[in-house]
Amino acid sequence: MTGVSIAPAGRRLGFARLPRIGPVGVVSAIVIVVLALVAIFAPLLTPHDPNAIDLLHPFAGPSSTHLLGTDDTGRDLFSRLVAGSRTSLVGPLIVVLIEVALGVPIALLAAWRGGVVDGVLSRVLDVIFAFPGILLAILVIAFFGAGLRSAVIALAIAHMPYLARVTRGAAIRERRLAYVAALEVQGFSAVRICARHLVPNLVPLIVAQATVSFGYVMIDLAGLSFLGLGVQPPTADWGVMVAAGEQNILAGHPAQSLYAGALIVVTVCAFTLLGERLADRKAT
Amino acid sequence: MGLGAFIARRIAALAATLLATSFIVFGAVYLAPGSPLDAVTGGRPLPPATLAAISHEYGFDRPFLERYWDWLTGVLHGDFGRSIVFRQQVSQLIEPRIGTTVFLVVYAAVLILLVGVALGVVSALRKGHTDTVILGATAVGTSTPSFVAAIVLISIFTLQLGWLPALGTGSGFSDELRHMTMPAVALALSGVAYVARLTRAAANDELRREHVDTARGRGIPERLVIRRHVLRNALIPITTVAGLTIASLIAGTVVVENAFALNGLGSYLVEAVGQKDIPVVQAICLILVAAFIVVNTIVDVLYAVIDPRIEIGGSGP
Repeated sequence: MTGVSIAPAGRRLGFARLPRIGPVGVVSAIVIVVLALVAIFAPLLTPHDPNAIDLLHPFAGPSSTHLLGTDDTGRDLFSRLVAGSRTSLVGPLIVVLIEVALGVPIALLAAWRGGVVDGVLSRVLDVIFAFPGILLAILVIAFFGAGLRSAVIALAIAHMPYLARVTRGAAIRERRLAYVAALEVQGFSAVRICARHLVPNLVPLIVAQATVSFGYVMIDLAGLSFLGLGVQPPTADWGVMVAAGEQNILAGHPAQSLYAGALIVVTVCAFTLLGERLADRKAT
Repeated sequence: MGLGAFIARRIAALAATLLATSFIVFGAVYLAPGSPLDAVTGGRPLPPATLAAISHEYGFDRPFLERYWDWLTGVLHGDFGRSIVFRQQVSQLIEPRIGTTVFLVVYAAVLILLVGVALGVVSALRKGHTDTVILGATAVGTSTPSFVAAIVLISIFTLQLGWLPALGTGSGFSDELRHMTMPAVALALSGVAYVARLTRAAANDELRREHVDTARGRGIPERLVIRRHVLRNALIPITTVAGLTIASLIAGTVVVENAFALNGLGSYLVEAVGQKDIPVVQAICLILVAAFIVVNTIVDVLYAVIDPRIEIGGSGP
């Protein structure tokens, strides 16, 4: 009998289980796939150069040449929204990947070693948890300068504790199962047991948490760009576009802000709803 | 463990967390690229005399922990040092702005408690169409960032209807209330939606419980069953989540104050980041984080006080 066969079967993320996220989950997943495709193929989908200025046609209404009209400097809004999907989606994606890369090892270490190690790591996570993400980001940006890089690193650190806590809890439950003890008796190393057996069983939970986190991170990151501390103009980004449009709103041109804002809401909604469905499915 | 000991332990944990966050806020200067003096001055070309004065004020010639201790004792006495830009006491600069931020948070908190809970109760009791509409609206609401809500509100109530002013704080209570309505709604929106969803779930949980069926079986009027048996029990989870949601409003003010050009702590924080006025950034960050942690602790203690079933000092951290 090998160690692998002892592990509970059928708990991995398989296609057979995917339809159980329900209609809302399926619609959310489709929205996310479409957004991802738009971001990947953005250069092919933009009818105009997103940064091409046309001062003769500011605030143009929707037309056959400009699908959604133009902004204050005559740039094509549709092209900017499509191009903006890249920074708007890649930013949160990198944050979530760093979160997982930091949070999962910390959670495993705390769960596996227990005792003092667990105590110290948990207290450190508590302190970071006590720091609202956007404030930590602003503090970091104050020292390292505005830009996507500072914002991404700060938000990854600020949002990581929640993922680490949930993963730690699940890892502790998993560690108590008989198959882990059986593997230990067989003399497999802790790293090997974690990497080959524990982590695969935790993947559905981690994916669910990361999906929910993506939505929250996107709100914070777009908020930072809105404040002028994240992505810098003239780069097309949804948060930047809401802010840029805000100056024009009072002049009676809210279109740019509203389009960009709507895209943020739809994206966050899709990630949050899908994440909730994935987490529910994991619980049952 | 008694309630007193529990509260004492929570306060000790609060002090430890505050100390740790103050260390992060202070120590961040030393993680920045370049010398800490550059970080504090933002690399401005300043006359050597000023640089020496700042260097002395910050005590860059003394050991790190000693400087931290001096800064911390200063902070505890309300002394946050002097602004690099205005050469004025930071406390004098931020004091007049605290009122706006507190007003905004309290206004938004009231909205969350009243509207959020009301929507949730209606959603739980009116099954069918009403429930579906509220559930859909709150799903969108929780996903709406405050600055997007701000844009939508300004577009509707200032541009289309001309009812409410888009910018500024106003003067006098009623004018201030008028000016603060849209900011408070924008700040509260996702919290209202979240609390509504939670209230709905908590009330639905209670409605399914046996004691509710028993109460109905005994012929108690439905109105009383709802009030005494459903809502009273549902109130416990609602209080906790509403409290934590309200705590998170504090950081949210940073974005909302900027969206509506309000003269509060949050908008000054962003201004200070732009000016690289580090003492101001540190002071406001510390105040907002401290407020957040204190409110969280109060909610924690309140939860233990109102729910007699909680075994205080059990297996919790």
